[in-house]
Amino acid sequence: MAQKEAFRENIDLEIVGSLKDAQAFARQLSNRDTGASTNHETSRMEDDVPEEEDDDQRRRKRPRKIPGKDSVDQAGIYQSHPLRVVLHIYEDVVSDPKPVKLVTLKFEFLLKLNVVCVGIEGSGEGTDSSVLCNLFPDDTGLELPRQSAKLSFGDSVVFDETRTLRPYKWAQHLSGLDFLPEVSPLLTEGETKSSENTTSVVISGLQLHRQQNRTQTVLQRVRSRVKAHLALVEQLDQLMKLKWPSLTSESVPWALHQPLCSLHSWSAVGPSSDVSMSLLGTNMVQGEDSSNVNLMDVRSDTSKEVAEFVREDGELPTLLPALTAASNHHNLPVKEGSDLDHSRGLALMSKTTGSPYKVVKTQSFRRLDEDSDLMLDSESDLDEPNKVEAEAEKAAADTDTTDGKSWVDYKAWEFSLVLTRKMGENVGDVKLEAKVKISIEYPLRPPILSVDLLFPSSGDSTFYENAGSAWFNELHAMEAEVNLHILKMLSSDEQNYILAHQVHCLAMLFDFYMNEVSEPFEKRKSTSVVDVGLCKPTSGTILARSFRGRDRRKMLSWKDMECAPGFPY
Amino acid sequence: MAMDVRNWDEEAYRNSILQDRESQYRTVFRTAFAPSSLPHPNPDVIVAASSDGSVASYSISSFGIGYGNSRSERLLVAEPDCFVQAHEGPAYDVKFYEEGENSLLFSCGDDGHIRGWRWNDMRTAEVPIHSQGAHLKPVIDLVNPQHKGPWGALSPIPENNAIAIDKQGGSIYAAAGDSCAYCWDVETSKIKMVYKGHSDYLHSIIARNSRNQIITGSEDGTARIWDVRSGKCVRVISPEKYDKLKEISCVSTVALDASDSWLACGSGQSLFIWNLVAGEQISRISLHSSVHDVLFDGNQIIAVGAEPLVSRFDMDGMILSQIYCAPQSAFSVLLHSSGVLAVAGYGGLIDVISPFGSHLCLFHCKFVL
Repeated sequence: MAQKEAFRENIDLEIVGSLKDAQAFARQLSNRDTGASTNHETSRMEDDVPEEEDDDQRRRKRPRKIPGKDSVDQAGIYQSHPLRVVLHIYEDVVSDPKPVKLVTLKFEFLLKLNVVCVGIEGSGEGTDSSVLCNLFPDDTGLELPRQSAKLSFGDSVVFDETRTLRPYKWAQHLSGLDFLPEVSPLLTEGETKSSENTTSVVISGLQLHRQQNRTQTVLQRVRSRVKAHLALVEQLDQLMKLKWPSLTSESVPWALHQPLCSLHSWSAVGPSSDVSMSLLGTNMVQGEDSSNVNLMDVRSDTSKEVAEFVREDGELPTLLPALTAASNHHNLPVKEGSDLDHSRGLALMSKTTGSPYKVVKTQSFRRLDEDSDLMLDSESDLDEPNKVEAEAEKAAADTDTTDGKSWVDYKAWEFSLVLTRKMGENVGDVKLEAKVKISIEYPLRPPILSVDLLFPSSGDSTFYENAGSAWFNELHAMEAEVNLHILKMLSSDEQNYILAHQVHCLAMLFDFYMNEVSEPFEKRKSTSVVDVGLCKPTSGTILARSFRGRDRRKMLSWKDMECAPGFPY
Repeated sequence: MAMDVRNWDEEAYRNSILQDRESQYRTVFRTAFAPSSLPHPNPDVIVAASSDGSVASYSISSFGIGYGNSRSERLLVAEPDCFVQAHEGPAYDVKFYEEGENSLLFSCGDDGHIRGWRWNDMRTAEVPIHSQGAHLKPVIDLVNPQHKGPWGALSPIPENNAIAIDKQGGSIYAAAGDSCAYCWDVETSKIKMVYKGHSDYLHSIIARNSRNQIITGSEDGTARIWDVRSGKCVRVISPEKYDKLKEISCVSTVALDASDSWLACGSGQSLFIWNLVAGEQISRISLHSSVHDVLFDGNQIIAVGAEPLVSRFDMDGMILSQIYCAPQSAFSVLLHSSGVLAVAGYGGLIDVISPFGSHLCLFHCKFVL
């Protein structure tokens, strides 16, 4: 079969304008070869007509045709195209005289899979590339986005996670692969009829590309993600050194509060167990809805009581629910696998009364089958308290194909934070333990803290016991406050420092609740007022209330920038 | 809602994450089964009052529950059929006043208002669900009075934690946060009687219609029986405590049995059973966590609290059974005439349990904002 090759040199396109912009240039990495090849796929990266815009971000790529193959190695599916694009992204701050380079991205094209892969230039073995994961929702870069690749290789291909360059969906959109013809027009030269159609398709695709501002979007996302990542690393660093992370803004109450408790420890629990995301089929794993968030609140302190209770036949289901209208039968085992991973991952976070649990660290893909069964057995003793967690399933029957939210957890970090407070001379310290889960999408997806209170058990200050349900409502209120309500109080500049705010707010709430404990609640504050002025004496008491509502929330009222327990004070 | 580089809207994405979280942190405080015209219906529609102030109705029969045919159930995220934004701040209680065509739905909440809604209007509203909320005006709106303090200062409007209905007398009783209970006349929207005597805010209230009395449970650790007409406190029920200092002492829930002669008070981690005729405490049941809601089912007592369990006891205090329920802390347990239980609480979860103990349906209330 005849083969044609052609390539054009890529020219480094300069950005017009005085500001720092992304500069694109590509290098030619290999010479063409005249080997014979039957499978010849090419693609074109089309030109992006430079657009003048206010923020002066521009980028250009030239169209180029890419030579087909490399005769030496044809078997590998990861065979990449000789030409690559390297993109330097700079800070877009106007005032800097010299562009500060943020990150360099490297794009390459994999021939057989017909996808564009992106990675961070100069990164180590995949550690840094994870910053690009989930740049847009549900885009971990492990799935082959293109239909053709899936069709040609069947469902059994699993994208190798160890490769630093991943086929993110946005990369495909950026390079225009979604509207470019699958096969190079060079090959189809014989068919003159279709060539006009394809050209028009390409042109309209280009217009779409421009309209949707794909380039700008990608650049903006990458910039904000990298900056957020840097800020996060800074905060984590401070926490590692057991220093209260610094807050830049003083306009929130907890910024001014001097913590009475102390930052006892901050430790990494390890990456949360990756939910298995095999590349079976095009449908995403169904079922696990976003209640991985919901289940943060799971408390399993009933574990010790479980054994004693009479259970009716209406037990909550075990971890393997029967799926009814699952649209893909072969997704079924995948779902179970992911349930277990999830449940186990969550078992790490739910509080246990000291029973040991395994830290599941999985980096590789989990295959469905026997693994799942084994894990089910070994986890049976943790089953009962976790039964409630198994409820977090979306009804496949009632909703249409929903994306499994398992991608959210991908590459998330988990930490454990402990705050302590001295309660008196002879009494030990009270500990507040928080499991902090930070997702890769920080700060768009704020970290989730799940807290737990440990009181020193009487007699021996080295042993701690769980607070039990007496503090349940308070802990829940604290979590709601820290994970949700304070986020609304933060301005958009503060977004990258959400973690710091959460830690400070948690410390403040802990202090307040402990203040209440140290003063016995019988000493209910009431203010009596006696007026001995000109009018006849009035006396009245204004009862200050500490609790409110059916859930007996402890009231914290904000008085300007300070928080006072109870209302009114 | 799939977003990618082609249609990226960062604000919208961030908001969607926050909204998602919001619905996880909501609490359903009370549920009520909607009246049905059939003589022995299966539960069809359930109304939930939750911590975002909304009163929403969900049609559980449409969730495809199978009675007892499968052990498994899935967690649905259910959108309400209709809802009203009833209160600012949490809505604590919801009760149906009158069955039949003109039934009214009363709700009370943290803002101190008791609002009555025409159930038919709510059900048949033509407005699409996402625009609902403020589309319906309450037909009745009662506000708690504010107390005058020194120098004419007005106290904040006290909240209403619970309401009780007396259809015969045309009254609504409210347990308010200013330590008083109020009796409102539905026709005239005026206060008929104030019941003063408690020293701390009221948690719950029930009507003992056969004796023209009401019973209130308060944060001060006592339950009181009041005569409706005269407003006088007939009896103070003070559950004994073992350890005065450590226990939470508040009567968070009171319940009467069908014959109006037995009273169950939930206080802290204990349930006290009183025989009102004899006037004495018969038994005390200890639980592992605070009790939030209790009711009588024949001569059995069902209690829920700050743990994911629904417990059944007999009158002597012997535990009969415990079933897991989904909400980690349940604030409301409700019995339908068919024997079905609905348990609701944290996480916006409502768990519907059959009389045999199997979980018919479990859903997470999706709050439409």
